[in-house]
Amino acid sequence: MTLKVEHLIGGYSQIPVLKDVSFEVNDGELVGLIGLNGAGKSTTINHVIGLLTPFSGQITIDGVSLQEDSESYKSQIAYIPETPVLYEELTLKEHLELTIMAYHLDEHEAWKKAQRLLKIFRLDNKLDWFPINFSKGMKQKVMICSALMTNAKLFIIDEPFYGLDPLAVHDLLYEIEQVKKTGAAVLMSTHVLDTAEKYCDRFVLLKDGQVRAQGTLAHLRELGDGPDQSLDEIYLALAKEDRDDSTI
Amino acid sequence: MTQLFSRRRGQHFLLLLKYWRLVFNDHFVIALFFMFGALAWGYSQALNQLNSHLWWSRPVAIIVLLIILQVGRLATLVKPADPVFLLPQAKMMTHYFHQALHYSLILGELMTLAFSAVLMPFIMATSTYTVDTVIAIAVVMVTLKATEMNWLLARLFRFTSKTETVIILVILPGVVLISGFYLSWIVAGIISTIVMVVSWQVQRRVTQRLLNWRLAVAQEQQRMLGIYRFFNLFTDVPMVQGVVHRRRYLDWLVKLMSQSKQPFSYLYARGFLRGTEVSGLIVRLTVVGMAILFFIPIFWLNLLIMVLFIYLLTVQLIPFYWHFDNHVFTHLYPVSQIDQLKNFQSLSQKILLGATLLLWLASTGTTVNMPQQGAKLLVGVCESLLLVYGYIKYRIRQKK
Repeated sequence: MTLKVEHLIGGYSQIPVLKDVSFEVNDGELVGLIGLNGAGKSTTINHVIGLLTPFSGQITIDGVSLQEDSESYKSQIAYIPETPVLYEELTLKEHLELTIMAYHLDEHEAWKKAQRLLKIFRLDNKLDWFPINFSKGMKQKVMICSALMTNAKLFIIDEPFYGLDPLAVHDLLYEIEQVKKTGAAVLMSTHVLDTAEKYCDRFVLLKDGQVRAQGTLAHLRELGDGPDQSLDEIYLALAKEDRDDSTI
Repeated sequence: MTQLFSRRRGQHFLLLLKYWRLVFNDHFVIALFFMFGALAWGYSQALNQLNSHLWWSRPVAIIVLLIILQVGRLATLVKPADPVFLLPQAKMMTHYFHQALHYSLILGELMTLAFSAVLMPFIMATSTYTVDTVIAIAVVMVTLKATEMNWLLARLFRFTSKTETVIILVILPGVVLISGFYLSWIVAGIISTIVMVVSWQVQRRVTQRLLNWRLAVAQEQQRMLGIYRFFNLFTDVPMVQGVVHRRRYLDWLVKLMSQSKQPFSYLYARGFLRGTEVSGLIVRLTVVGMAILFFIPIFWLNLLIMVLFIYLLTVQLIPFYWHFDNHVFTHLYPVSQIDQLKNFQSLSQKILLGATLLLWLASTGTTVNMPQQGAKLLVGVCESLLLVYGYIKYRIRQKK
């Protein structure tokens, strides 16, 4: 299971936001997508999940692109958006049922998974609630549950930590570890760098719609100033360099 | 500050104008022509059969007049941001609200008079009233409306109970109208005039106090929502965001309407039945259609209006296809658009056939004519199926 982004040029209008982005996410790997606001993280994710069409370049999952076979491409992906999006008309339980239907999951097995997740995220007594009654954190947990209950081979997680309580953050990271063990690939964008540093296997640093650097933490340190630098320091150096560029 | 209200009123008129233009499009004018023609004809036919010895005519007139009094609310045109931005202007707001009262009063009185005028032939036909009495009734209605408006404004500056609301809006006008119909219209006129003067005095004093901003904003938003809802019957109004209700009692219908293992069918059925916008529209339109069809005994006209209503229902239903489009997951689910269209057609078919059945039942009227009813049912069902599998598909393809 490999996500391959090759020479991706894309964006929302004629003006490209992403200029030649290439990276890979392999099975059993958690890749952190990091960069400043406006660097192109969300645009990249929108391209991967198929909301945007590339101007040029290719995105493939195990060699299949969205254009070639949209149903098989989409059925491989589970997505947790930055802002939770739920159907106002559906209860929590019905959201999960819809996921089962949409991804053609085995009902019995999927519900068993769901029950476990609902218990972890303390939603198991709220199955009949409507989204309007959920707090931001709870909505985020609903998104997490319905994404993790699928058998997707690629998880796209956009800035998952906002609004989650510390316990939920911990549980989410544990669950991500678990799906990695089943051989799934995970692409996660985040600003919470100390967490990313601890959990991500590799990093893709975006800057102005281009890949500024990518690789393991050790590799990034080599590019930076010293071996003891934290991801935070590398990132800040990058941000500063950015500011220096703009003043010149 | 003194110009704030007139500026807002100008903006409000522009907004209304924009929507009225959309309401009176070609289709609707034709439909309206038929509907009003049918109603007026039915009304005049019905009047011929009435006389002045009917026991129920006066209670009916009182109830209708009471309903007429509820039309036309206080339009303050305040906006949700006003309590923040106009906070330092609290004192000046009294003037603003008096302007709002004058504006609402003129509109309210015009509507009261217009609707009362429609009822007058009925009152004349079922009584021995002369023109003098009719004028007296008009005066009573106008003064009652003015009292109501004064109270509605005063309410924003003081606390009122539910009981008081009922007294002012129902019991007081009810008593005045009853005394008019059963006692004397001179007595009714005197009572209502005195009450109006008192209410005006109270209103003048009370409006010097502090304004209850929250109530004012909530009330105005409620009123605007009503207006938007009305326009939403004819066109898409972005401000109308449907409210969602659980409606557990409709779960059997949800089951009936959704096909198993079809994600879009699952979504559409629940969205339709639990949302208020589309389902409300369909229900209202069906009920109006039923009411009109019930009163039209002429076969060809009846059939024509039934065909027209089935078409109107279809037109209202089509935008629901895109109801979930701004929801990212709708695009992410591995489901093809062909399935989406099929699911939508299946839902539309169920809704339209159900509505057709109801319209058909109502169109029976008071006398059953089997061959005619059979023909109507056949035409209605054929039209529904043609619309679902031809027109809906065409319209959705066209938009893509």
